[in-house]
Amino acid sequence: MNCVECENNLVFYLYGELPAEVEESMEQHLDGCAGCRAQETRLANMHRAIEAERLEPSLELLSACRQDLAVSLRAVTEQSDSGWRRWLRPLDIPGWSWRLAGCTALVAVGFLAARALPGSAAKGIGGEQPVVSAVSHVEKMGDGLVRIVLQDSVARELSGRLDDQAVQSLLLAAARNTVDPAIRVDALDLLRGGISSPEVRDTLLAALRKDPNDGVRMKALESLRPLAGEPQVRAVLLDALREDRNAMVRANAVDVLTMGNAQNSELAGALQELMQREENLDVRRQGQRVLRSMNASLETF
Amino acid sequence: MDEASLIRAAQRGDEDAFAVLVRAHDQSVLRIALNLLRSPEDARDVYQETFLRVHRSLQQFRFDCNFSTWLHRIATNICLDHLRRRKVRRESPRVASVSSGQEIDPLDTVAEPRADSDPQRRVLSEELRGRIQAVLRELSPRERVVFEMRHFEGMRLRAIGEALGTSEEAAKNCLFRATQKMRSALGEFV
Ligand SMILES: [Zn+2]
Repeated sequence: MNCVECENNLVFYLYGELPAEVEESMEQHLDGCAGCRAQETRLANMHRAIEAERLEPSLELLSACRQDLAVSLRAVTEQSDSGWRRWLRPLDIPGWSWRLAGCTALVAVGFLAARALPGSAAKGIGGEQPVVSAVSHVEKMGDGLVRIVLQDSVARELSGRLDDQAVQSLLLAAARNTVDPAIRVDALDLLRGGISSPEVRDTLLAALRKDPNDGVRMKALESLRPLAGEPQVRAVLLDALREDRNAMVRANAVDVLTMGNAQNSELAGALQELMQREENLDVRRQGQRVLRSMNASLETF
Repeated sequence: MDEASLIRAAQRGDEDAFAVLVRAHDQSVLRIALNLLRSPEDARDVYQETFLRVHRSLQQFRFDCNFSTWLHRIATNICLDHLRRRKVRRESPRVASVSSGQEIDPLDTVAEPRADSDPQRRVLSEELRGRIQAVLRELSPRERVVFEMRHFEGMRLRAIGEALGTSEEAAKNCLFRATQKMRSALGEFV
């Protein structure tokens, strides 16, 4: 083997992708050629530098992904708690952020319950045990002392019908403010029963517009299906079609928008615009199917 | 239960079996996405899209390749979508490069760059890292996928070809082009 052949094979020699006999003659040549050996060393150094750039996902990122997925799958499969609830369980790792997130959710709901309950027809079963503490303030006091303010809250249960004002406002608050996306999905799901109320509709629209969790936006989108003909709802659906960062949400927005038959010209326009830039194949197919059925051109104008 | 039985159970609608399958493979999917997109947020999207698509199309898996090959094919296609979209929009990752060593996002707790006490060497290695990142961004999406599968996942060319639904030869050409670009850009540094 000469130097030119050696250089040509060097890359795949280091990748271990050469046939055994070529590899052997490479080794023979490298043993006797300082120039090629130096090239080999440089390339191997480069590989080491590149491999040092490899990122390992953190466990926090992994568990956040698993939680997102659990929520979305529940929204998709409409499955009851038993199956996917296990996904929401924190990983068995010594991380505290999960517990903290759990506490915040409980604290928030606890306070809301305390405010909303009195005077309502709903039946609250109050326990007096403080179950959760959240630290709201820390301060150094001198003499090596530290002052900590804890917010204790009490877990309570209540049950009532969906048309009960207190029940509905708790569900609305849970859908808007709870940290745990699984609770937001459950709340939105329950609220579907009260979709005739303007407040419920606004909450669903706000969730579709702004909720950071893909599963929650999917659930909101699905819940808005019966209202797909209303102009105000259509406007938000069209925005989701144009702007949502999740392809599933965009694809489903197409689906829901075709339900309401009002202002199809606007939908056709939005879809044509979408076809100009949508990269996701599922969404493109969905959009093309609808456009074909609307007999519109696949191009703008 | 072996993997084939798990897959069959999941195909029959057993969500617990599906959960087990996800947990067996999701770290590698997330790692591929994180390395390709260099953004924890985008990796999170890809993770979600991948497994939702797998969940939806599990019926179509016919056992004619490894489950992980099939899964990687779905995940890398979604990553390619993201990379192409990013190229079109000339958009950088939503989270800045981690080369500053600063923690930008709480989810972005990736490996810290190795500490190096010699300041001159540290500057050189920062420069080198910057160049590597720049070349990775300049590669075509496909070259980048192939290159990273080889270097970050340690995959053989044949497996890379399978995962991309292309031939070993095509993967080899892609890898060669990517390596040559890297070599010419890093020339004086290594
Ligand atoms: Zn030589």
